[in-house]
Amino acid sequence: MKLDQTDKKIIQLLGADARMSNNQMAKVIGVTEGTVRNRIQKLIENKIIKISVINNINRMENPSVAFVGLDVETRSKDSVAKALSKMKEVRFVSTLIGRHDLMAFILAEDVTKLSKVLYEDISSLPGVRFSESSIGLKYYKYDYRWARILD
Amino acid sequence: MKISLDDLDHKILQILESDGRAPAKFIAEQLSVNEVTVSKRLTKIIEGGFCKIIAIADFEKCGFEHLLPIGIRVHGEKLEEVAEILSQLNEVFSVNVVSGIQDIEILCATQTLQETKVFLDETLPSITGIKSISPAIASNVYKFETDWTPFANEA
Repeated sequence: MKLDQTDKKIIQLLGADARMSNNQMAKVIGVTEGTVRNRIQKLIENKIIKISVINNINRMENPSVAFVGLDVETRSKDSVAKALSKMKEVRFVSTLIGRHDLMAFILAEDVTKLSKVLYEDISSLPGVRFSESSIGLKYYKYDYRWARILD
Repeated sequence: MKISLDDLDHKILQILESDGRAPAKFIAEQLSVNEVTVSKRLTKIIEGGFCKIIAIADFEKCGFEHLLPIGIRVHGEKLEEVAEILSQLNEVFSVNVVSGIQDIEILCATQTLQETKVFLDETLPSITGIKSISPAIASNVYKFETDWTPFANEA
């Protein structure tokens, strides 16, 4: 689906506040309320946007973050990626070109949980040869308006 | 006084998780409370910094075809300075100072191979304080959850 200026404006407005009414948006952009309604529906249907509730991680007592690079046996790449995706604390999984075979991002409720995920759950996955983790100390930037919308 | 979320707030959020644009009137009817209450609670939840209700966009479908998870090693005394400079770059949407093999982990999105090359071969090497980079391109994203995120520095 090709996005035009109206779509982009809508994405921008909803990225700031998804509770804004169709009417308000129509006024700001200078199109009809019906256009706004149709466009939003199309954007959602085509998985270009997803209206979401996001929670501030500072509401967690001791949020613990780790970035994990994994080297795995080539034939196990897909199965390891799928197994990682099933873990609740694993928030991001991707295969990589360069650096490592796979990369995962973990957010755990505390350090104890984090080390369990790192040293028990992930290390014991069949096919994992080597993993290298960095522990998150401080976020300087995070733009939560961007992600991949997957099934 | 520390404000926290109660049962009603959580019930409202539950409805919004399935339809983030559900009108206050609809939510009120579902929960048998009045509409003003729902609006007040939403203001508390959002302005109190507990949650945001926003549209998340798929960067790949918006034309940013390359997602680059890059590890960066920095000369110690320049750590904060480099993190600040990286945070100001438009193509970089996540910057995290870490402890481990790397010093900083970033996520960057570019539209073309040309932009990727410029970022890796020109933009990053021009930043004073960077010792080395471990670049990668995410080839197949299996999972990308956003329901719990930091709220800082969203620009």
